Amino acid sequence: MKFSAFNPFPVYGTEADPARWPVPPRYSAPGLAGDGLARAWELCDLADELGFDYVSVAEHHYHPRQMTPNPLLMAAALSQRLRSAGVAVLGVDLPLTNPLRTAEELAVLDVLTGGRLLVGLFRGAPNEFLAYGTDPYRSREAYEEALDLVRAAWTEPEPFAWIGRHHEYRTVAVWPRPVQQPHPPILVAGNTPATARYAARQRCRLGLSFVSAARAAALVAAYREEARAAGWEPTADDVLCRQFALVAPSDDEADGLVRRYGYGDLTAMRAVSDPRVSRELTRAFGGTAPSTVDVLPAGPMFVGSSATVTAQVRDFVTATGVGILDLAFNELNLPFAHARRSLELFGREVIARL
Amino acid sequence: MDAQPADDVRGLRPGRDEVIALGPADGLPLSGIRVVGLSPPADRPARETAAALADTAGPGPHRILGRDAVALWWAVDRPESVVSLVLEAPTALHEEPLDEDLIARLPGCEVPVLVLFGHADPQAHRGRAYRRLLPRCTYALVHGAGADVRRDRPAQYARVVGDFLARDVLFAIGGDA
Repeated sequence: MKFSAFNPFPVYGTEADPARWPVPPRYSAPGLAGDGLARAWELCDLADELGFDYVSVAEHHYHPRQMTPNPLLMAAALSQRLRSAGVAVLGVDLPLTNPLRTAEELAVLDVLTGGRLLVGLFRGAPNEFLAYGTDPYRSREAYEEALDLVRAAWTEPEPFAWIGRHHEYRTVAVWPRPVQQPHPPILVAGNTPATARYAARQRCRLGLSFVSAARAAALVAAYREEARAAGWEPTADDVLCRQFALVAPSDDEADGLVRRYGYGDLTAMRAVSDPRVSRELTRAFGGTAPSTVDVLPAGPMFVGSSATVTAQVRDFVTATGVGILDLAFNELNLPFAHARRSLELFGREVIARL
Repeated sequence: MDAQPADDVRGLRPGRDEVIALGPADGLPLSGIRVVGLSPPADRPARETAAALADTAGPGPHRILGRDAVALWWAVDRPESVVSLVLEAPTALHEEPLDEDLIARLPGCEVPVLVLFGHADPQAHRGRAYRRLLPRCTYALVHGAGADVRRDRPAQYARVVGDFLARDVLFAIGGDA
């Protein structure tokens, strides 16, 4: 069992309505981002000290909830900060930017981390496609092509041209090659059976987020079945799941914090300003969104005292076969002191019991 | 010889700059480019065949589509008659017995070469050898295509091969001059 501490790098203290997207930049008052960063580093350093296997970052745009529009910037900074934990980028929204730039930056990041990089190459959530005006209608096909391109860029030993329907580059020769050979482990988001099976056919790791134990178990079963059909057997490390966690000295206190701050309520977090835009984006994604749209949880998966959370984690892992838990302990709405204590309790009392 | 209709195409002069396909030319998704098929006899050494075809075709210069050692020998022995060469899923450097004489000559061949492989073709890695040996080689992977690039991705084939035939090494430059 491995643990990863996800840090969204929230910018605390803005006057903005966090239910809106995008959030007007005028709310980014001088100093707030730096303050948020200092707190995020405190948690990242603590996770490293507590023995987490990874610290993870994700790509999100135009919102104070996550100061990681290019998660590779924070990942690079983390790489020079963490003593033993690896860096997990979970993940890059591959269709939004130039995939060769992504391949180059990730290769450098693999060098910066000394080969301790884990990377999710994701299609991205629907609203992220508004950030750069990316075409969502053909995003599945464009994403799959970009994934193939990134892997070719990492593994082809000679300069080559890439001729695709969505990407065409006539000179590709990515330097440096990744430290991990043939390339860093790649996670593909698999929150639907079809995408879980795609991950298996691609021989990629499976990345789940915010799904129930029953749903995770079904997705992992589909992934394993498809992997076997493709002639390989995933290990526990091949399945990662992101969840919210909140650990407090008692179950009552933890439950009270969840209620008071709406902690882990993704239904409140996902927002596109115009509902028609939101519906159309979901339709553009093929009716079912790739990650969190269908089955948003209204609270964290793991909540309670350290004894309670230990049991919850054990049950979840037993039921699902997940090998790496990527856990969020901090969020914009949760006061920092509670987040810090939650992370520390998990590291000192939950990990030790598992 | 069988010919396709000649139309205007960027950089090519119809009637003068026809493309020679070593093998059947019908079915090539290259509308607007005059393609002439030449069928090499199978029972002679590649180098001799190349010389005979070059004699038949005349001084050119020609743009050649091929896949085996005949096309490469033509470029190596008669470089003045070859503007550029397109090798589609070529086999020349991997067929037994290896033509060591040809391999030794390739680093001195200045003819621009486009080597095309389908990304899903299990043999696509063979393209690397051409890129290593030929000083002016572009090794292209066509996404979504297997062993038969022109059938699997005709639009991409037409665009890339058409542009390479028109511009040879300037093909590396994007945009529209």
